[in-house]
This record gives sequence, C-alpha cells and structure tokens, in this order.
Amino acid sequence: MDDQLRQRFPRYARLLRLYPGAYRNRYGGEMLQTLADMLDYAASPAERRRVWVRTVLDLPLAAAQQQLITIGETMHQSPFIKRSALISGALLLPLFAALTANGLDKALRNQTLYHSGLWNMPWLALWVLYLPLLAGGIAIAGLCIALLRARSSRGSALAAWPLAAVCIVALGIIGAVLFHDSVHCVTGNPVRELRNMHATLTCVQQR
Amino acid sequence: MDTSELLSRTAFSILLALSLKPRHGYELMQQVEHDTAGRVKLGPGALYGTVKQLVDASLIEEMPFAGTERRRYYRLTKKGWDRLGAEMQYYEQTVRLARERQVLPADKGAFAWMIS
Repeated sequence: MDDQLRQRFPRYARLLRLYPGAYRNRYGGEMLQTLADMLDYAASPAERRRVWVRTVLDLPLAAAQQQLITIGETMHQSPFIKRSALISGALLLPLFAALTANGLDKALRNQTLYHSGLWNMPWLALWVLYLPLLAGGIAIAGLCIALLRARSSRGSALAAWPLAAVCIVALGIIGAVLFHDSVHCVTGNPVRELRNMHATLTCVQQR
Repeated sequence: MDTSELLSRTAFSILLALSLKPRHGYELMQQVEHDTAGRVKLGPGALYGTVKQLVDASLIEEMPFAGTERRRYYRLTKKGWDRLGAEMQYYEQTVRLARERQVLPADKGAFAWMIS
C-alpha cells in the first residue's frame, strides 16, 4: 500500500485490516486510491461527507463478505481441517449418545442407566474422559497446524473454526469431569483404578 | 462464477461499464453510477469485491503495462464479452416480453435504464 495514501487516510488504512491479508495486499492500495479520487472529485463538503458515509457503511459488509469467501477457500484448500474436526468431533459422540440415552430413559421410564455398563467402569472412563482427551488433543494439534498454515499461506485463520469449536467442547467436558465430585475415583490413577474396579465403584457410589 | 445464473446487478453493471473502454476503479464507479442513473452507487469495498469475483471468473483482467501500482486498469476478456452478450440477450428478451404483456411501458419502467 502507498505510504502517502496511508498517511492521508490513516483510519481507513487501519480499517482495511478487517479484510483478509491476501485481499488487502492485492486491492488495498487501489481502494485507498479510489477513495482519494472520490474525495478529490467531490464538488462540495456535503458531497465529501456523503463519500465518507458511503465508504464507511460499505466497509464492514464488504470485509465480512471477503472474510467468508477466504474462509471457504482456505477450508476447500485444506481438507485436513475438515478431516481433523470430523475425527475429533466423532470421538465426542459416545459421550453425547450416553447422555442422550440416559436422558431419554429418565424422560420415558423415569429411570436412569446408572446401573448399566454405560455408567460403570471401564466404559464410563472411556467416554467421559479418555475419548474427550483424545478429541481435545487432536483438535488442538490440528488447530495449531491450521493456524501455522494460514499464517504462511496468507489464508484465513478463521477457517479453523470447526477445530476451535471441538477444542472448546472437549475442554469443557474435561473441565466438567475434573470438577465433578466423583472424579478423583477414576482420575487419581486411572490405570490402577480400572484394575481395582470394586474400590472405584464404591468410591463413586459414596460420592 | 456460475454461468447458468444471472450476474448480480453490480457485476453486470461493471461488465457493461467496461464494454466502452478499459477503466480504473474510480472511473468504473463513475460509469456504473451514470449507466444506472444513480441506482447503483458503489463504495470501494463493494467495487473491489466484485472486481475480484470477476477477475477470478476470468470475465475481466488487469491490463498489463497500463496505469500504476495503485491505479490499475481493467478490461473485458473474451469470456467477459461472451457473458455480457448472453446477459444482454436475456434482458432483451425479458424486456420484449414485458412490453408485450404491457408490464413495462415503452418509455419508462424499472428496466428503462438498461435499454436506454
């Protein structure tokens, strides 16, 4: 972008950062020049004001549109984002399936599945802790790779939103599990607790 | 850009403005406003968003060795001329049909700016 124009319109030049990097590099200078022309050819102060109003109103919509286009293009060019998000998201499904099954059982039969294998070791530790941990790990690793790639290829970092969403959900589940009353029964030393099932179950029931 | 769909009003207006001669951003904006009798008023964001779409679809191209880094000239490509012709044909048929059905008076109407 031209320094002279950037100095003339410092605020507008800063607002151009709302556009994706590649787009800004290609069209930013021309946009500044076009704004300069519009203002230079405006016949009166009132017309100059109208030019500014039109430009300022036009910017957020156009920037959002370009961001969305770039997100779409980046996602299209990086199928790995979709793949990692799907894999990590699928690892969270057993938890939601178990919660749904329990909820339905409660709603339809006024019972719970707490005495079924679903809510007892070793399955409980698997879907409530290990799978979300694995999902979170995959999503965080994928997110880091996607952000690094977006930085080097000037793509949109926002394209990694599915991975960020899985990260948030997985970390939320892990957080909820860690703060749950009975968690220390299984997380103190998961391998040992799984071997000593009877003590673990007693501990969970006591809680 | 899907060739089976009609161009947006802005994209169509830009192609039409470039049918006269190659233009840079501000000239394009002025011509579009003039051609549409002020109905299409573009800001820099909307203008270059559409220009990018048209360049990506190879309907227009930047002219090499013309203008400067910050004032680049654009012109229609062969594909752009074909597309503009096809769009004009569609509108021509539509206007003719509208006249036949007396939806559109001969001297005024919503499409008058297109056929004047």
